[in-house]
Amino acid sequence: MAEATQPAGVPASGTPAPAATANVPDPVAAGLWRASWRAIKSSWAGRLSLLTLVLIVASSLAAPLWANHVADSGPLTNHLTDQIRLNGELTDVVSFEGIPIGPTGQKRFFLGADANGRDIMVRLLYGGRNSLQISLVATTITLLLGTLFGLIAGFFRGWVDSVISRGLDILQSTPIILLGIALGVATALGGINLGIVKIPGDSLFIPALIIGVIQTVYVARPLRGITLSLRERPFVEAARSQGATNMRIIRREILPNLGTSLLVLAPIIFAQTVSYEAALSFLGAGVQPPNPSWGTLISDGLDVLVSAPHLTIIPGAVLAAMVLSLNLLGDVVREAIDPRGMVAAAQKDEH
Amino acid sequence: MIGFIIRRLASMVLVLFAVSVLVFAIFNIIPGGDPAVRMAGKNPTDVQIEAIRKEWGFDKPVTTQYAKMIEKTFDGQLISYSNRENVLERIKEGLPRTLSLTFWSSLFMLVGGIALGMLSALRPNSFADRTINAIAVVGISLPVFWIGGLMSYYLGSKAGIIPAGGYVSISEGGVLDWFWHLLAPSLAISFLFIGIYSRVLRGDLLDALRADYVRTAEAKGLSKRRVVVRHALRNALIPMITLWGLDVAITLGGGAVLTETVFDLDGVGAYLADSTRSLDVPPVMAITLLGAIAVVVMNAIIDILYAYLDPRIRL
Repeated sequence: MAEATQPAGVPASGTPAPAATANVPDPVAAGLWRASWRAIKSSWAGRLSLLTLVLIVASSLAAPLWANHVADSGPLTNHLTDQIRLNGELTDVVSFEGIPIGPTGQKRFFLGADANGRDIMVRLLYGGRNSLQISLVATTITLLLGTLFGLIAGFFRGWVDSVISRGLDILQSTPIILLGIALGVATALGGINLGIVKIPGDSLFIPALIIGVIQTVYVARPLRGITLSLRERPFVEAARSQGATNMRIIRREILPNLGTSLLVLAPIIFAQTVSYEAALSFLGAGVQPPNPSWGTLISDGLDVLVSAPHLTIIPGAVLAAMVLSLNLLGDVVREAIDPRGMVAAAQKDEH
Repeated sequence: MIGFIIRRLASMVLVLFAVSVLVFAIFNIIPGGDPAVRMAGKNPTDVQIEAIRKEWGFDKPVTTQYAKMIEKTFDGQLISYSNRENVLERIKEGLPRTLSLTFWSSLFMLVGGIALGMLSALRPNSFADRTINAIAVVGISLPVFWIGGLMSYYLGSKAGIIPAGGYVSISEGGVLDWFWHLLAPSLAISFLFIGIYSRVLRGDLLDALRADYVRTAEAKGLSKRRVVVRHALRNALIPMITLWGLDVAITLGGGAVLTETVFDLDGVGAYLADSTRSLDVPPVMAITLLGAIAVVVMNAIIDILYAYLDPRIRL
């Protein structure tokens, strides 16, 4: 703390002013969460989206409960030849002509079955679970990698910055959806084999890793800009004059000041991640069948849209509600802790 | 200006090379089993795999493999191993469809983005502004393959208001029918981007309206319309147009995978989607490479255009 209150002192020892002039959000790290929470609580958009998020997350977490205690069927269990009692009559889950049972409103097959006789409600809950797990891991990877690269490039500048920035340029000049598809197709059959770690092709970790990596640019870019201007701030100067090492400056001075940016970026990145996961899985380059996810469920649903529209409408509506809530929350949080839109500015004037 | 163009083109060639290495790395370097097996598709025989290994030089050094990939992609000999289709021929077949979709969607995006952005910026925080903001958030949140699929069925097959999908070329059905079949998919794509563009333009136009040169223009007694359109808008449009140019290139390069699929347009993007579903590597590789090239080249064109319009950039 003493470092921060030291007088500014003389300009840095010969270091020229940085080229990038991104403004830095005020370092109020301690109050960030409280300010965000207060903003969410006080706006109806914030409250509504938080409620939606909690509902979706809770129902996905409860998937095994529903599967084991209510529906009595797993997400991958076929009931092709089974019969259930419906209005007192024994009914085929999948009829002789191959038409699956519609919504029963009962414990079993609450939303009906798919062509393989799998319980749609169970698959929807597990699909949400898979989508959320992937998105959570992917968002974490994006934030970690993005912070790492942005911080290193902005702090050390010079050739390190050049290498990282050119790398990001190249990553960014490939359309992200094409990049995701290419990676998904390349890893779907053989998985990833790193010698010590071997991830099979149908693992949920593969789409998480792919989406996590391809979005790095969106975090690294703005954080690089913000770090560039943070490192010229008087408190960094002060720490340096007291003999603090680079590691210590990064840990104690720079990193805490990136909090605002990360908190502003996190919900938006999360929302994008959920969208990409759904899109890639929809196309067959994400979650591999028979595993369910919102994307694969919509893809399966569209095939039977004529006979069973609810199989498309429900997973899509949940997916849209999830992404919309995250975007709205992102808006509320940004307005509360970054009212002058500095993170957005750093995102924009980056070269 | 000539110097700038040469420098920009040189860096474009470098990026093109780097992008091709990236695509190569995705399919050849990521350790995950035998690349020949991956290339062969879902149910290959041993003989096929061996033939592919020879053909693509997977038993040779990486540099040879890279050269093989580039050669095969561009000499028109690239064949899908799942259905023996010639990949480049198939892409060429899909290109007019994708081009048509790109044409209309980019037009909608541009007009819609400018109109809504101006509406927002001229009356910030008004009812219209807030409505547009809400539309923008909804636009970026709705999955296009979901809303598109529902649109094509409910407005198309069921209500018969719009065609349920498919493509009609100008020579087959005339300009009107061509446009009519592209209307819904173009709107589905633009819905997402109009929201983003209007937000970007709103911010930049508000900044521009506060600038000194706008005050000068007003002080000279120019009409409000002239000040906004001729002075502020011209400058404020630059960031939005940059984004637009890139999105046009992405759509052109097969990036409208989802829209093309749900509206059954059978263009480059739909071909990519089909190949993805069957894990057919050669087309995915070719389209990724070509899509990336389209974006890189478009990027260079935009930069050069700007340098022509705005001399400061040439420095």
